[in-house]
Amino acid sequence: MNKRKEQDLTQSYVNQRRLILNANSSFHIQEAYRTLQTNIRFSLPGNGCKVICLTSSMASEGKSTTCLNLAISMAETGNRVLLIDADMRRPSQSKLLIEKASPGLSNVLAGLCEVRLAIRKDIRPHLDVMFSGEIPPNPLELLSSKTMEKMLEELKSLYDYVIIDTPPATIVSDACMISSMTDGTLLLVRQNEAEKEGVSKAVKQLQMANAKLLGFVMNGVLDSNSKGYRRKNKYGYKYKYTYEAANRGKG
Amino acid sequence: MEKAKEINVLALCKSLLRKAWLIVLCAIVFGIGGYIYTDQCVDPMYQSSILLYVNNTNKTENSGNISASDLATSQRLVETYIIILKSDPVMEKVANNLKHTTGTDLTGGAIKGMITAGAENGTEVFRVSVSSTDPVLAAEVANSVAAVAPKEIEGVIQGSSAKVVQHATVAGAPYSPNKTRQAAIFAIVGAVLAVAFVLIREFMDVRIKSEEDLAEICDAPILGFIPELSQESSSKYSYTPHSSENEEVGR
Repeated sequence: MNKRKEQDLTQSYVNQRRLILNANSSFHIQEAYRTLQTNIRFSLPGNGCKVICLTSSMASEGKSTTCLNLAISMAETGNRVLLIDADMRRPSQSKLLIEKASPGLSNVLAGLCEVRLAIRKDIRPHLDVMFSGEIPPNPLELLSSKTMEKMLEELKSLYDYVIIDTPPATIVSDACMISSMTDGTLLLVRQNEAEKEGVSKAVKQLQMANAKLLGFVMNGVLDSNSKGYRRKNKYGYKYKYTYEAANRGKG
Repeated sequence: MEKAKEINVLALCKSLLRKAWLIVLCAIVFGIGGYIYTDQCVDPMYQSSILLYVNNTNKTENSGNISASDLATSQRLVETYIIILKSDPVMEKVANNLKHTTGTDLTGGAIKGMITAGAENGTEVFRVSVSSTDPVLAAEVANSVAAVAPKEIEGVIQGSSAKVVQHATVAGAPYSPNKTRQAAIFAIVGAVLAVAFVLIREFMDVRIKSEEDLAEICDAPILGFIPELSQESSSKYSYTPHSSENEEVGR
């Protein structure tokens, strides 16, 4: 990668790190993630651990940041959460959290490392992270191996939620592979950037992989109403779409 | 997959309104451009005219009431006189007269091209107008017509008598082009082009912009709306408990 591109990429990660949920994040954003949590919970009734993956139709729609923030938000409400960076081709969680990617998922799947050694504990309170590990030459093969299934089974007993960050669904088939092993899949769509065709293709591929598509997450929402809502009726906004989404989900 | 698309007229109107500034700007630019073009590049045309009356005693006597057919007959007669006037022999004679009186050498064909004629206000008096970029020439040609035409018409139509009612004067101001009107036309063309451009762009826009776009693709619910994070400056919009009037409910 030439120097300019590297600089741009570094800068973009610096920018993305600013978007990670923290104590200074606005109420608006925190509420957005809490609502997303609630809706996910409604979509996956029942007890036991839930394994959820998040994908999108294109690259750079904000999957990694959203995944991380969702995991943080869930951990904040007291759940034991594990975040797995399953994008072994272009690992981003390690860049966001400024941690070493290795040892991580690829090491575990290749049989080179035990699961518990690959997990970084308490990156945030109640939140553990398994980074992607070294970049392997055969990510799809690793993901479809028995080791992956066994690993997920083992992790289910340790956590309330396992959140998996995947590569874009239309670019490689890693995401579809992973989604068939999870309890639910979320498709992230960036407002004003994602294209209808791309999203449609991603949905079809997920359906073909027998994934359970829980629903969409719309990112980068520039809602013209949002300013008004912020000043006037915060509760109203939350109530409105929680209820709506939950209704539609039952259909 | 359905190829037929519903055209949401309201959405189109909204997008036109959003781009109204572009449409207005285009109209103004085209209007000004049109004005300047007309001013600089289009030669002003001057017009001088004469009025002629032909009394044709061959037609049937009036009973005193003028009926619609009488008016139609008058129109027809005027058209007849005009055709006679614009015929090649008469035009040649006008050209000769012109050369004789003013020394200007024009062909009969050229003079014919400068002449327009028609009944004046639906009566049997008709106006012969001569246009030219040179106002003096227009007047001279018109007066040559006045000198030549009556005799020629009388020569063709037995028993008629033609009289010049009004001779030509040199026009003080050009009659064309109408700069304001041209500017207005250009402005409208500009506006139409801008509207077409906006509409075409809107149709070709295949990005996801709203919930409805997603609903078209798949009826999975939208479980979360994550606001555009980079537009938040945390101090401005963050929730500070002591300043908010709204209660957080249900957290």
